[in-house]
Amino acid sequence: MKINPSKSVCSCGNQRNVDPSSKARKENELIVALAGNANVGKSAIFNQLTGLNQVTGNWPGKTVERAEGTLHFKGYTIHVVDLPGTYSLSAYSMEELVSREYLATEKPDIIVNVVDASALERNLYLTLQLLELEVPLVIALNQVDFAAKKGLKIDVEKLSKFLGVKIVPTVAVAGKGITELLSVVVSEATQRRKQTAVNVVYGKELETQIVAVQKLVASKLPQFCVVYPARWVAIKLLEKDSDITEKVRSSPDGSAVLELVERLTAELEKVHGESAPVVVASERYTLASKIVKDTVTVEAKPKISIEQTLSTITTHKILGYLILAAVVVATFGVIFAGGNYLSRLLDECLMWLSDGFEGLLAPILPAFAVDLLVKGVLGGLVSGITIALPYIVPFYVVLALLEDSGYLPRAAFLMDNIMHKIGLHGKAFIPLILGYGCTVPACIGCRIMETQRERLLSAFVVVLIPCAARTVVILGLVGQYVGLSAVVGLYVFDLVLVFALGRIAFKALPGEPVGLIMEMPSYKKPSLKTLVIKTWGRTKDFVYVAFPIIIVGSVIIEAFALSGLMPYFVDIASPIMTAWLGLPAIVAIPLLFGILRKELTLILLATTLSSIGLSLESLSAVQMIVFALVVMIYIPCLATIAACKREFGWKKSLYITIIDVGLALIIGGLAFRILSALMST
Amino acid sequence: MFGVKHSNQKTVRSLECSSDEVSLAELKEGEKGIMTRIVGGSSAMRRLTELGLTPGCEVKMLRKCSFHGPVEIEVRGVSLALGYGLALKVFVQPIKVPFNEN
Repeated sequence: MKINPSKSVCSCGNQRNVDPSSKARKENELIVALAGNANVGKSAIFNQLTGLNQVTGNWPGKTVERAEGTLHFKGYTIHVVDLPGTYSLSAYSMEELVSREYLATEKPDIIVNVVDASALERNLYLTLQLLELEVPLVIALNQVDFAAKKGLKIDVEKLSKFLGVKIVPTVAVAGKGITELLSVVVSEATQRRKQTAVNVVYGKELETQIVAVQKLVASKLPQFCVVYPARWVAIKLLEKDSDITEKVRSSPDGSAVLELVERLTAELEKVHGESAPVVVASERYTLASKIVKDTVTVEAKPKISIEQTLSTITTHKILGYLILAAVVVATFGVIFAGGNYLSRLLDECLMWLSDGFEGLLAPILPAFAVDLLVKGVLGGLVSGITIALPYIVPFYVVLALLEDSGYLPRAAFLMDNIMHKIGLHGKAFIPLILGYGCTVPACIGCRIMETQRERLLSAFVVVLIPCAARTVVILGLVGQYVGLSAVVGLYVFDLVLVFALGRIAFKALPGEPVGLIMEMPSYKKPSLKTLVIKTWGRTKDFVYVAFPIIIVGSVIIEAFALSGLMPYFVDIASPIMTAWLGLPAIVAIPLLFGILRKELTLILLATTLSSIGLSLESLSAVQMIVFALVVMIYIPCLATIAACKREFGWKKSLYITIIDVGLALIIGGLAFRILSALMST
Repeated sequence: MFGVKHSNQKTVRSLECSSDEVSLAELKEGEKGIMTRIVGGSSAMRRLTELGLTPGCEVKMLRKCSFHGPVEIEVRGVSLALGYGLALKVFVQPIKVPFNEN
């Protein structure tokens, strides 16, 4: 392939300020926007085009942020913008509004509408709206292999002719059709021809009304028609689109247009007996249905496939829950057993390294420098590798499997009832599960919830889910020295806590709970390649971000120990740490660093304890459990606080932080007292 | 599947008769219906419309969770999960399913 991904930028996770659509676009530069329903493979196409690793997965709503990347093809520099998946271009959700404003006002050179060939009718609903918007369009007919498996044969030529749009069949995950797609994209984009969808004509009554409004819009609101096509404005007005109606209302001649629209929608509603938005949506679906009838033939009635059977079993009334429980147990089993094994293996391998270095450096450097280097830098690195990685890598593998297979929506389906008890619906279970991996993407993932209230509520409970880093602490300390039953106890306690707090927050936050609406994707066999890429990407991110902090933290603590300031700090921290929580006062130091990263607490706990001549083993079982409990709850890490701040603002993030710190101290102190009493009897 | 037999007396009646209308939540697993209307005007209802649940379209009940849990339906070739509360607000006209099917 002649695709050369250049240095690319991706905004997954952070805001970008580079705007490729700035007016100073060069002659051989093109901007391509990817639009399509959720879970049709847009991110896969984006990754194929740009060589980036935008997160993919088999559940709707992964891409919540616009991702951008650049590639070079046939002498063109092509900027690719991956828009969040939407089913429509209405003003009901922020994502849809943002996407459509982007398409209408930023005017990308071409839009690639990624369409799921196996669910053509539903996908065409968006395609028709893109055609209404009169933007230059190319269709990537994705997952044609899956459609064929379902026994669907699509007459691509006929479909292309009818829509007046070039169509390229693709199988994005396998990289099929990507070069062809690029060629068509470049040739269509450079022609810059105006998209005229001659065949996108709705029912007679609606069509006469559209034309009537369109004429008035064109004559009364010329400034509007510079940005938006008159016909599109007419349709949106008839659909009672809140955004466009407001914009028209605030225009000088808007009232005349709105008067006509009001009269016509009333007429429309009287004739159809439905509200105007439903009438328009129905008309679009009628057309989509007609197109599908003309272009798709069902070759063979699909037999009940393995995927369907799997779907039936995993959502079964009884079996489904048993499987869900088994999946959870197996996940933690794999992480616990695999992590322990890897941890021990790495520990042995790296032990001689640190001893060797010490022997090597001792003759040439003064004692404190050797201590700083060996105990600080190398010690931090070794504990990072032996404590954190062994638990985190297996977790990432399992998480990727769950994501790619399509199991997560099934779990969400099963959990809908239970989630309703805390005022959320089943979809919130997905960020909750993601939270066991890392709280930051889980917090951002709360955007799959529909309202701001639900997003905040989900984020509030997601923050309390022990992420992989906290799992490291729980397994590495309590699991290693106290036992598996204590670990299970901690996790169960956490779930009870999440449930109880979620219920309180649900009662405290004003607003109505929303019902579940979720597309159930078909099961797909996860590809080994994606699995490896994904696990590697996440591990790499972890290493790049965590290791420098771990090493710097270790060095600072080592320096702190050498400086002789330790006793003073211990004095300050002892009322809370020793009197209330029953821990050595010096444990305040790892807890302080834990704000940066949670797994640091364990790594630095070992370092700080050794600096006062103790080791992890010298802590009592109760102390270990209390420590793990506090770490589990006490404060969202900096990255999480930053993510929360972006989603909900400073005030709410601060509330969440304060509530968590308070909770951790209260629960930690109580646990110390209760557990000590239990142990002594 | 099994539920179809019990409900047959009900579904044999003419399709035009609007008294036949039942909520989606009352449809049994494996049964089909023609969607007639959605009551209420919340944004959830509008989203259902956009996902293809428009008046006149065919809906098939795939699965129901126990204890008033969510339902999974097939509409326009796509599987959708719907909370029980929403399923109560979507009305359909059940279609008679021949015995040899399923």
